[in-house]
Amino acid sequence: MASKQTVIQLLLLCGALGLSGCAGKPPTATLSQADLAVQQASKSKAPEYASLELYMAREQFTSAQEAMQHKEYTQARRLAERAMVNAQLAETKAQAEQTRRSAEELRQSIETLRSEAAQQASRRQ
Amino acid sequence: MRRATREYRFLCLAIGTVIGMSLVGMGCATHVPPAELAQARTAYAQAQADPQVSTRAPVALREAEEAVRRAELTWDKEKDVREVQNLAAVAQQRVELARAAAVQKQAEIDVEQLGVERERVLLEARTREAQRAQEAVEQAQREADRAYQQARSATTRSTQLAQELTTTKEELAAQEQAAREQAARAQTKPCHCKRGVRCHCKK
Repeated sequence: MASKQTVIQLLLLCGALGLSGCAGKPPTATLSQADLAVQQASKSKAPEYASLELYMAREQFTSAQEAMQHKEYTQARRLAERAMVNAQLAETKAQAEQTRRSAEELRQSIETLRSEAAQQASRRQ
Repeated sequence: MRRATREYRFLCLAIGTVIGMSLVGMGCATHVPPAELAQARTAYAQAQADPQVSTRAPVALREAEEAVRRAELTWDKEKDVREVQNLAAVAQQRVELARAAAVQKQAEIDVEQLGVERERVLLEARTREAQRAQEAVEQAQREADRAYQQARSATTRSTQLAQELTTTKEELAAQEQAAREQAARAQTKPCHCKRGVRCHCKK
């Protein structure tokens, strides 16, 4: 009976001192959010246009999963948060780059049309 | 048995206290906020001062601001260096996200404007093409008219010539006729029929 009490006391002490690792619930929701964000980024143009950010997101997510396995929940949550924001960054960067390239293509096609028109005009004169 | 338990409990308490004290000590020793927090703050301030970001990605900028504030609040309340480092890093990435969102928005606006511009240039080209075709048609029409006029005048001339020819032929025929008559008259002239001789001359 007494030893049980001791264990409880020890656990309370642990909690009170906020020793990370043995405290808190597993951040399953954060991890699944991060997982979704990484998957979504992988499906976008991020592998092509934002490979560094996507790589970092994947690394951080893998580390978060490992931390989960070791029951280091605080560390897992932090890594998952980082992975999520990096995945989002990768996706947005890739999207921006893609749109920027579309704009550049349009600009060039207008340039071509203009120079063609100028050539035709000079040929007629 | 009971004594052993008590000793065990004491030992646990002692260890816990030592760990606790050392943690608290660490917490007290690090009253200086982590460098990441200041970096996140600076990054946010720069993005906010950039009109491109503040006008093109206000929502993402707001999210970045909230992330910086969360890191600051966590530092004020908990003084947890590692947690604040993480939150500050997230906040910095949120600032980057706002910048990327601004680039994306600007590129979208560019695409839209350039699309309109391209339509305009294409329309101009088509209009010029149509004008050119119209001019070509008019030119061809003028040439056809000229050719028609030429043909008409040629026809008139040939009719005239044909008439002239007919007139000339008639004149010639008349002349010939006159000549022939004259000749006939000339032949009949020396017909001096003698008396008593049969006269072959026509009279």
